[in-house]
Amino acid sequence: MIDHAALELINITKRFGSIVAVDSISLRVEQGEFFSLLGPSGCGKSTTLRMIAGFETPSSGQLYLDGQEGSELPPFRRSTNLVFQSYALFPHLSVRDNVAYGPKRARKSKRDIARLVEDALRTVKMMEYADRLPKALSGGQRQRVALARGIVNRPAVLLLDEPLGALDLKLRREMQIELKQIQREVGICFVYVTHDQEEALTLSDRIAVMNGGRIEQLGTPEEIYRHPRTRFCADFIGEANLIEVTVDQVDSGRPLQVVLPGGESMRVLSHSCDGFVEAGESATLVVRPQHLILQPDRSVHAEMAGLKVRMDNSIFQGSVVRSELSGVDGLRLSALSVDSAQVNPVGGHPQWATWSIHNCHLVANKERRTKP
Amino acid sequence: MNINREVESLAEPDEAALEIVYSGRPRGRRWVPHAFLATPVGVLLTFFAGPLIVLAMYSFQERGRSGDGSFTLSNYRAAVEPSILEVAGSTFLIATLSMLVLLALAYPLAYIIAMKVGKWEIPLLLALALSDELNPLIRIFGWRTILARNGLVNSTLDWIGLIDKPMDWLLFTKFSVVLVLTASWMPYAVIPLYAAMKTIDPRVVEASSDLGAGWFTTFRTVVFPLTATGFVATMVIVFIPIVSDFAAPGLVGGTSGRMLASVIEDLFTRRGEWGVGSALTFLLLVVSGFVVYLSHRIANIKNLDTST
Repeated sequence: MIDHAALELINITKRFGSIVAVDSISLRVEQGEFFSLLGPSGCGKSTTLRMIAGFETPSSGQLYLDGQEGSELPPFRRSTNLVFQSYALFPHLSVRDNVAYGPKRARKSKRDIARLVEDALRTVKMMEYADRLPKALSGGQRQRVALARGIVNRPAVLLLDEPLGALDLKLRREMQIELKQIQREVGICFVYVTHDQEEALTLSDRIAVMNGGRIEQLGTPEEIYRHPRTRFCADFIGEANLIEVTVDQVDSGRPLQVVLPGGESMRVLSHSCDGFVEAGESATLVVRPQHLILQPDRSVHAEMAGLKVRMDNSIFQGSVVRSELSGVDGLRLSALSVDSAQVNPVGGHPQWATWSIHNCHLVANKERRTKP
Repeated sequence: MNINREVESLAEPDEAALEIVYSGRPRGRRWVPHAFLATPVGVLLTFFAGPLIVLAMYSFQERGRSGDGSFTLSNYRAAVEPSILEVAGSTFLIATLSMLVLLALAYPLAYIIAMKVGKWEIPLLLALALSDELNPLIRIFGWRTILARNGLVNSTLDWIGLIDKPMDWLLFTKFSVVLVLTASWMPYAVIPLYAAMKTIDPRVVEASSDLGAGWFTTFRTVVFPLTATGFVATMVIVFIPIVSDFAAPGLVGGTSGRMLASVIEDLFTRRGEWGVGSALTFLLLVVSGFVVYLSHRIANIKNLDTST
């Protein structure tokens, strides 16, 4: 078996004039992995992808493709292929010739080309459209052709730049599932750029959450969702209630207890501030909406923490009820409850939003400069 | 597959839907668009077709400025006499050469302006357009001072010591005509080619590179096929004015660089042979029209085999 990574970036930095678009990022993507670069627009994810594809040269750092240094190689000498957001199909070539473009450049024999193209088109279920021009296809079909064109050369890494961005929601969901199946089937390492956290969670084996040109957190979807490293990650991945708290007790940089806005103390069981916070400084407690439990009274329980809140709005959403709550100091919370009987009337008496101390996570407010 | 079915229906538009779209405009006012057309058509008839009809009448009348009205083909016979045919030959040689040199220079220039220069794109286009604002006579006289026996080129080369006597072939030859024509019509070639290049999605060029094509293969298999129609259109756009140019051959052509347009000018203004001049004008028009038709045919060839 091959033991080197499909892709490895070491301290890659990209500057455009005085602007640092990508700030010394390092990551390693394994063979056959579905890896996502996730972040808001302008976070450097597309620049990173373009550096991997060879359309941008890193200002510094090393880039290894399939174990070989390749940061200076032009795109046409790299073992990567890119699926563009706008598909970028050749408008003057048929579907078949679009897919055959790569194998032809690799100087394969006519028979091999025909076989490879057919395989790729079958994989994306587009064989019956082989002789059409791109303009006679829908967005979803163009997407499939672009994907076939990307996988036909069996690149070491297939790069995908928000490939589903232009599709409507229903089609996007269908394509997500299919994309994942195709990736398993062909076994090529996918590096997927998206700003859609749900898409990243659905598809990825691992995700790198990027912000301001840096990787804020790198991990499996579950790790990032359950144990976000920073306030940004907590807010960006999934919906989160962010509650400002004060760190109360610390044991050699590790937070033990915090004070909630209402004055209650809470024991900290889960946090990402190891050796990092001091008593008296502020931090953010992350509580997911589905973990908030609304109660008319504060039932005292050592394993539960709570805030006094007022119900502003309650929205029936079918399988769940969403409650908009406000607390002290303009704090806004939302809660998702499965059982509608549990939700109290809007504008009623102040009530309590409580959560289990096992179902929350503390992140530091100050910026963290250590490696993920 | 439901996605596929959805697209079938996209490819074949719904007749009923189209009916709604096209019957959407109010009935009974169909003359309005025609009224709008009347002005340009009127202008065209008066100032373009009118003179042509006058020319046609001259070309079939007996010799003389007023003409006595009797029908004759003698003007056409005079227009194809050997001395004029010789000029016609050199006209098409010069025009074809100029067009080829022009396209060979304008195509890469347009490519660079459209794809490679970034923020200099608009300034360069403006500079190109401005260069055409200069009075053609002044521009051509400028060339004369450069190409003359004691002009800039010869005196410079002489000063460096590369030549010991001036080169005579620089001015009043076919060379000088081709050079001046090429330079004069450059903006008219670059701008339509630039427009054709701009229709190419830069991502498509990147995709070609990403799939393993070097710059030349990308050019051959993607950029050129996608600009082929614009290329042929540009050929026509520059060939017609070049073949009928009289300023350049008149001022830098001498005797060996004569072209038909200067012969026609001569026939009208100096020799008073309006009939022969008109006949020659018509012959040139017919040949040029044929060239345009041929180009149109070439541009219409579908499925240029660019897949290999």
